[in-house]
Amino acid sequence: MKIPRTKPTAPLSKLDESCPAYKNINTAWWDASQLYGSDEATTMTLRMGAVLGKLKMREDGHTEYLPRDENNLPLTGFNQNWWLGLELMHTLFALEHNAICDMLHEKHPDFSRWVIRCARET
Amino acid sequence: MSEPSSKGRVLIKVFKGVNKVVKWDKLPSFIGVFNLLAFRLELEKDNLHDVYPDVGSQGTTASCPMKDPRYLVTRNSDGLFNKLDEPLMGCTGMRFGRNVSREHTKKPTEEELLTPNPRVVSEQLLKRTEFKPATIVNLLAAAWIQFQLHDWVMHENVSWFPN
Repeated sequence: MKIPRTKPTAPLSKLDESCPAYKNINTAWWDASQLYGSDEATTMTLRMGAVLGKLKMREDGHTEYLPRDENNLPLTGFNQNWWLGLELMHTLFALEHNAICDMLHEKHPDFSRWVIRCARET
Repeated sequence: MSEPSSKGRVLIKVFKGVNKVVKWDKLPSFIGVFNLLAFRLELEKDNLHDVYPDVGSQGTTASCPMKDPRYLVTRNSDGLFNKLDEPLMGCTGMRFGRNVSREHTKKPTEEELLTPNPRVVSEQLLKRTEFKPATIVNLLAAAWIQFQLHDWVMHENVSWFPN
């Protein structure tokens, strides 16, 4: 089993050389970046032209699942350390996002750009 | 690390005394809220340690201007502008803050890193010879905690394994 080392960031001070600091590749905010991604481009990819500010899902019969990439890994904000439990959480929250989009659109059909923003904050 | 005001310091002292007799959750809600504020001020003072050499590293309105005003009302996926006067705070690629002073986080030597050896820990401490049921949580707790952690932090690794 390989365990990758954490990479110290480039030192900015003397202290950084003896006591290194480490970069966070996710946003540290409680902003559901594991669902929406930690950069704007990823968020746009995850929407992939889905309507009403929704996240793109893969339909299979009557059910919707997370879409997959060419390696059959889930397309979501953060897909490392993947297992069934994470598949469950990510699918649940992506579907909840889409349900909120539907609900907002039903109540306020005139506001389209507003919908993704609000679904995300909710 | 931020020093509380003199009022804040008084609040911390008062509630430290009060909590010896009554815990915060047993106080009437209105007073309990101020007890929580005292906890927060104390934690900010003693348990949050900046990992940058200066405050400016978190960005300023001059060094990191908001070119598109929509980020006043919508979220930026990079984490930018969540704090308007320090726009880089908590962003993707920023250093992750610490709960202990940096002097105590010296980089371990190779020998220290492998003492105790992970294999010894695995074979002696974590090894199960009989089934030990978890009585207070189920597997969903593990999934939920990992799901939340992936929201907050993933350190950059030396060699990048996609999975």
